[in-house]
Amino acid sequence: MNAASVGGFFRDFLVISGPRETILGNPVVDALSKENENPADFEGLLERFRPEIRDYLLSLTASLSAAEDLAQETAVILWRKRAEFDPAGNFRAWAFRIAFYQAQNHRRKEARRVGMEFPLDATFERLAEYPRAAAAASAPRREAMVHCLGRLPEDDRELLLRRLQDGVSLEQLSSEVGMTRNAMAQKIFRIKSALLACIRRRVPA
Amino acid sequence: MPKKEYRHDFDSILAALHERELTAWERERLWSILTEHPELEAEFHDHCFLASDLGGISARELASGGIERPPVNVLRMPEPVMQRKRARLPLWSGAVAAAAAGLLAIVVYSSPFSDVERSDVVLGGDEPASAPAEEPSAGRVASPPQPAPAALRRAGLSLDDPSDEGVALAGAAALANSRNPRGGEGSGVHVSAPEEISFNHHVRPILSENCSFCHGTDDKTREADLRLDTFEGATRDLGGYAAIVPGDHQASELWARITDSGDPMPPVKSHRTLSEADKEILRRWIDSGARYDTHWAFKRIERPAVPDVVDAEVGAATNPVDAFVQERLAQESLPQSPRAGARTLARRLHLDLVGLPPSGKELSAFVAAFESDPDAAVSARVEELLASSHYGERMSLAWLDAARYADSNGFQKDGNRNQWPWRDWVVQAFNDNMPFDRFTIEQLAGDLLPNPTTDQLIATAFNRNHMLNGEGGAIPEEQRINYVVDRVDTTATTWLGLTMACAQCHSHKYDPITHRDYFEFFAFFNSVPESGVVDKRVGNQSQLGGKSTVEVGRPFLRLPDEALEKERARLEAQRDKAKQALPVMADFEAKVLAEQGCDIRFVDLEPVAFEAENQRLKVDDSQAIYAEGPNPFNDTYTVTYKVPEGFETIRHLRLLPLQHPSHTNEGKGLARSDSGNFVLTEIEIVHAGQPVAIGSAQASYEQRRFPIGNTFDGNPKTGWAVHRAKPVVKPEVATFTLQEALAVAPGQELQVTLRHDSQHESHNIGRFRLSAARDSEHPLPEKDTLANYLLLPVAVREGEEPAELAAARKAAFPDIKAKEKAVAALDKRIAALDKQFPDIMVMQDQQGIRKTHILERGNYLSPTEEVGAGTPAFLPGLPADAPRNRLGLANWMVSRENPLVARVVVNRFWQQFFGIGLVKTAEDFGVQGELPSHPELLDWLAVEFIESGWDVKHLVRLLVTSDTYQQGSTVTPEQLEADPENRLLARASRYRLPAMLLRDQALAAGGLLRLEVGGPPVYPHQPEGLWKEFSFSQIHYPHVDSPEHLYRRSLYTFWRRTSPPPNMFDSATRQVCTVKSSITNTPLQALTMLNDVTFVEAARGLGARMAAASEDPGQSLAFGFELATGRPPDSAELAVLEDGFVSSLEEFQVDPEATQSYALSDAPRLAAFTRTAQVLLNLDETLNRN
Repeated sequence: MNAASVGGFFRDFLVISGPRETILGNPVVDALSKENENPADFEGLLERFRPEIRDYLLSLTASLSAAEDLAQETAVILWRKRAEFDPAGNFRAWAFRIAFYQAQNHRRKEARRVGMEFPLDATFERLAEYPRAAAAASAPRREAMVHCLGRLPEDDRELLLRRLQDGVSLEQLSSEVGMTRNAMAQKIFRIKSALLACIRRRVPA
Repeated sequence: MPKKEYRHDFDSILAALHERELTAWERERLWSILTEHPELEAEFHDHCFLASDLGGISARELASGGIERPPVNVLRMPEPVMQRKRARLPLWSGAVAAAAAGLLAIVVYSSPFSDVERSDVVLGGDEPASAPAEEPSAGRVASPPQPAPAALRRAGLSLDDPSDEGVALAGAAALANSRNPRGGEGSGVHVSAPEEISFNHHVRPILSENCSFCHGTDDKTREADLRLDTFEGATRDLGGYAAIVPGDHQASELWARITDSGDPMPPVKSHRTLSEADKEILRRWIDSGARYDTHWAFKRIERPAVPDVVDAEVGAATNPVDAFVQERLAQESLPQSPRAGARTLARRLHLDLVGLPPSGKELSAFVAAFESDPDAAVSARVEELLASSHYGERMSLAWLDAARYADSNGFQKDGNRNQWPWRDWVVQAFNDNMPFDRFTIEQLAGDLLPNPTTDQLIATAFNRNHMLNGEGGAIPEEQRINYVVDRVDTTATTWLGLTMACAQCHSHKYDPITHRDYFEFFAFFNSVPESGVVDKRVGNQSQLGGKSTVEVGRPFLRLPDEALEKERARLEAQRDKAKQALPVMADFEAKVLAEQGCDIRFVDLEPVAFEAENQRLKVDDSQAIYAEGPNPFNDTYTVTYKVPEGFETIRHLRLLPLQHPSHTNEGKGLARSDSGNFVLTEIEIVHAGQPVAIGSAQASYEQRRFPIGNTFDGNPKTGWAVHRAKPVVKPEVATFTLQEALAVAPGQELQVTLRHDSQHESHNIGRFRLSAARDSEHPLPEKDTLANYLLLPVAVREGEEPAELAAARKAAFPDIKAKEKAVAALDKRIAALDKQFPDIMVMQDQQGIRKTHILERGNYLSPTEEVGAGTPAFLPGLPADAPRNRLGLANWMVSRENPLVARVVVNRFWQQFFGIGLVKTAEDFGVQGELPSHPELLDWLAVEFIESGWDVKHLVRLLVTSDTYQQGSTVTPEQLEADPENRLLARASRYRLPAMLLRDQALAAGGLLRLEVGGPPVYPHQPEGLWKEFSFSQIHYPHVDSPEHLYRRSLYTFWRRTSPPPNMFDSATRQVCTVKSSITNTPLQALTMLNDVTFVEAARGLGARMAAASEDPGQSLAFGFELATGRPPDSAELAVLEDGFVSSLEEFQVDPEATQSYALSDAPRLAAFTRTAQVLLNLDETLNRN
């Protein structure tokens, strides 16, 4: 679909509606589908790694809002330090390291504020060192993902992709099928679990 | 095999991870699971990264796996997103570009993982979203200025912001907070995390504060047809799901919504948020089965067992009060404070029980007794104080606030009233230790007791102490409704501790009081025969000077006054004498009538038998018949009359509908109908078994479409009525002329039937007389003739006396005018005198209950359904045989089954002696009120109170002889930290004395206080011109230079609602019921304490007493110090006082003018003592009850 053809109103929507449009239609991102392929385009890199940085921060904070906040802060720092970035280097490792410091900072502040420490230091460290912090999903893993997506019942797969790729809200999804929000969350969780179990069987950690 | 608990929790947390903000509990649980089960880490990461992983799979890759996605259906676009689209930009590029362009951008980002949308204002221009969004090209950022981090941050979510909901506040402190529904105020009670969730203590406050407004009792404002205040409502099937699924918070929609950051409950616009601890409580409550419970205060009061508390040092508590308090303290490992010193204790007891400081003699006697046996000394002193006539004065203060007692009506006119006998009744009742149930019944329904005494009638003034609007433009019915509303609110707050007022316009949002309950309660107070306006207005001819008007509303009770009664008797005698000198007008009029050539004469007929279908008929001395008993819709009267002596024929019959006190419009109406109007549909006359035909008739007034002819047209649907477009307030007359003269013989019977068959409710003539005239050659005179005028009974005559008649009379009796004038003058003087009698407004129920309707939104103009009197449905009902009136209500209040009254009352007494009630919200025992700090103690005291026969002195004795009461009030830093408000009572409370007591204390120290109990209000010093100023000169304060006015106890100070005594800081305004006093700080009070005339005079008095006490200034000062504080000064304090005294003395010795103004004499020593006395009266220790 050509965004330009539907006029300003829908174009705004399509542009902002997230990854699907980006992936399907945005030449910049398509060009970046290989890591660091065009390191000169720093903004493109930021765009490319944004979801992963946020997910990484989510794994360190277990808080959606904190992860979003910190990802944004991380972006600002990355942008400010963009001169320091070696185009030949590993953007992910660099970005993730800065994100890690943000998370650690956040954790200290939280601990001070509520007078308790979590996660425990050791757990936090362990979580931070998770291999995914250093490397993108491997080719076998991507393959497994696609394979397992293919194994999901079609309705379930579409639901999952609409939620995760298209960013359709839980409310929207639940109202379309006449379920409660809570029930829809449960359903999506079961689909995710099935998908992940399948991936794990094919690509053991 | 069931899933392990941690696995279950882990799954539910993972399910929520991407969908909403986790709760603090969930986050904590997640970390601990990951710490204990490292094997779950990979799974955790898989879930965390699944979003970006899937996002990273391109359509090409999907296609390579054979996955085709259906085309994007534009029509399926999520509606809300479209509506919000202007605010949305891709965060990353948008924000950077916005920062680059230096524009203001409203940055709202959307994430596929979160429904959270947060908007935030960043710097820049005015078309925020569009500029960067339309051109998200990379080229734009080729040489961007440095993006300020602030521009990317969402200010609303600053990490340092303590309101950030993402951050947990768990643990004891938060739980303690959640126990207190009025979070801001802070209960100060330290509560450790509950091991078990109690619905009443933990859950209800959360639901009540956050949910009940939309999901509570009120079905008019209920949202989503969901109510959460009952188990049935909360667990109802809402179509495949339920708000609460007991035992499973994950399946409960309530849980989903309160943890949903995108579309949270309570909604963002409600400005209510659930704390993490609140959510945690709800989670645990749901998981443990979501059991509901009746609100604690609505449960029957049972006497709890007294705990066995043995203190290592003190031994077992002997006073149950202490046992409960100490048990609670033991839970916190807090010890009670040691007993206060004898002097502190004496002062405390005196101020609390009689409101006066102990005299020097009383102090030293107590100190001596205390040394030998403290317990005995306290007991003995308590008994003395309870027996003092000033005990009642002290106890009355709080009751007068609750009863909004005042000496004026309020509103702009603010006329005076005479309610003070009620105030004296209260003082006397406390002094007599009237049992509280009696105290309740007499005030609520004294008038309904059999043969009520004057005192019992006076007691009912409680419900007439409301404000009264005497303004010209006030709408009577609107005001009347306001008064009933005030009675409802005051009664409900004072006895039931319920905020009933909320239900005036709609069902209560929090408590189970429905709109109907409100008006059923309203009905108890709705039958007062009051008009809503001022019924009696009399310029105050007070000998005190000043200027004011007494304005009272019916019903009122004339109070006896010996001097006035004597004067009245004298005037009556004079008038009777003057009357005897008047010629008999009837004779004169008969003569004039004869001159007019009219020989028609009406003679009253004597009824010999009478009967009504639905009422009881009775006959009075004037041969008039009146109806009693129930007030039926329709009725028919059949009366048999005796033909009078000398009657051989009857040609005319005259019916005279009359007034009666039971009628509407304060007895001025002619029926017990809404307007006082009647509709006589048919009149039938039978003589000797034969109907007698009426030929014609005339009436003094005929309402449009209700002419008199309707009464003998044989049509039961038509009738005669007399409403003159305003309430009926005068008698009328109808004269029927028979078709033919009826031949009769004296002693024969004439049967007359009056039918009232109209569709107008209760339009039945309530009292009437019948007279007859013989046949005559002369026709009945025409209307507007002199003859007709003379034939009318005096009461029915209308308009001016015809000039002809006046002239004839003047000719017949040349001096009649003067004689009549003399009588009229005396009548006027008697009437004026009658007005001088103080009338106290009291309660009364009119005959024929006034109907009560549910008023839509409480508006008097919107009556809806009719209701009868009843008590709120959620409380135990009235016994079946109880009268549905105030007496029934009063008995219900003090019945053993009433769960509220004893608790509420005991709590207020507690508040009086301990500063704060066991329930801090003394005015609200409903679900929005605070929970009791010591629930069992409260219940124990309530049962003890009831079972002692509602013995107030017994209760007071129990409180003030407890160790808890007698503790020292010294507070340690630890106590302050642990319990700043002293809710746990590890020490005695210390607080500033109420202004009334500060004044009394100063006057007592100055030796000026007059201790007479009772009487009309007095006028102590107040700034010149104050009343005049606010009342546009209509009201002037009588400045009376007499000790009986200047130095009486503050209780007796005239309380003008629009201008309360200006030196009474923090006093209730007495406009509406107040059951909790406030203590505030204002520099004005300090200035008043130093400069107000009363306080200056008190200081002069104290100065003079010091000056006279000793030649030695040191001894004088010590004497004064003790008068003010109750103890001798220590040497350091004395040294300071001496220094001050000496320097003042030196100053005054060289400044005769200042000396004069201070001491009103030329003695510098007196002036120096006066100044020192001001210091003493303003010492912290003097101002506070320690």
